[in-house]
Amino acid sequence: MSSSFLLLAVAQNTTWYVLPLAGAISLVYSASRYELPERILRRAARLFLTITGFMAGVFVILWLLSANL
Amino acid sequence: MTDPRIELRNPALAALLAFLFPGAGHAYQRRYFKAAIYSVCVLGIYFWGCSLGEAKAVHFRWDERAEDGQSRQRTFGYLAQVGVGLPALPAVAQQLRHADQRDAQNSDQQPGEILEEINSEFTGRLNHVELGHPEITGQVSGVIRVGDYGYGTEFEGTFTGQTVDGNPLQFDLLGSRNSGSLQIGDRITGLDNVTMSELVLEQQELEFSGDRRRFFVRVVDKTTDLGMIEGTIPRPFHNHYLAPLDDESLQYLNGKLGKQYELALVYTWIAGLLNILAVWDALQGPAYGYGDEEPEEDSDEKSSEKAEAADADAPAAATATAGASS
Repeated sequence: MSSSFLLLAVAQNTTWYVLPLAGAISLVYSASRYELPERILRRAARLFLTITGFMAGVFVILWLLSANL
Repeated sequence: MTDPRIELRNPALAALLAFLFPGAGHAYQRRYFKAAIYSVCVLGIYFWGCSLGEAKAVHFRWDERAEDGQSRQRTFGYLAQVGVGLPALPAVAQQLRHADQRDAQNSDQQPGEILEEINSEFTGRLNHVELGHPEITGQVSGVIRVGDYGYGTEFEGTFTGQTVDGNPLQFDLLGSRNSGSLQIGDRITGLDNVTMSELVLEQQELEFSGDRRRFFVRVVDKTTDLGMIEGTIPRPFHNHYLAPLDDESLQYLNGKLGKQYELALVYTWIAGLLNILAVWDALQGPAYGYGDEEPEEDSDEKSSEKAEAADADAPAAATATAGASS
């Protein structure tokens, strides 16, 4: 189990890079859909949470599947 | 149909500006909030990627055929990176200059062809040189000049400098380029091997540099081999910035940076692709509208409510109709 925690810690190093990337993608995509700043920010926040939530879900599933390896 | 409240001004010009510099097109259209978003996000991701890749993540190479000992390189990723516009566009010019340089090198069979004349600062090592000096082996710095090849493959030059102890040195350089007595790194390349293989045999790790060129020359006096001088000379910024990389340099970068280089590529690709959305927004306006329209979910709910109400009314109406007919 400790080795899986170690692997998790190592994986986290590069996984964190997804956050600014997801933030930028959310903002730019939402900005290209709407004009109103409030609407852009609200949609961007929702898209950011969707992306990170989905990735976190996949991360947890993969982590659980590999826990006993 | 673009919302009339959005002033696109000259959309084609705005799109061009948005491509050349992320955010510039929207600033021209006075859509400053969006200009700030596009500029900060796209350029932020792009330059962060460049930083992760130690400024070597963006380069363009499009080989028509494989060169000797090299694989045919076609950097498809650049087609995404170029979406960032001006920050990535110099790579195209560098690819053209690099290709010209390779063509010149391939025409090296013509004896005595002068590729370039070098007159620049030099730092490196000197070994077994006896020109009125005791045998000198060690670090030297100074100015080196090589050129005037004359007939055949002959070249000549001079070195003027000093040892680390401050002892002045000056000697002539003469030899034949085909015999390997003069080796100079590529004039235009993003990264080059500058490992001093001849002199530092114990050095295990390879050394690469973008802003330095490897320079090796044998120091001879007529037919007597006096020794060698090996080191680096500067490569100007415009000769290595966004210039193509060869196989060896890419292997070195991947080995040195590992995942970080992959991240750098992904960041710069995505930055370029995101700017395409910005260009389209400058040309056509926002895709879904101004943003103060009723949300789609609400309209869906309303339409479903209406449908339910219509369904509920329908049996009553049918009953009433049936009652009337009876």
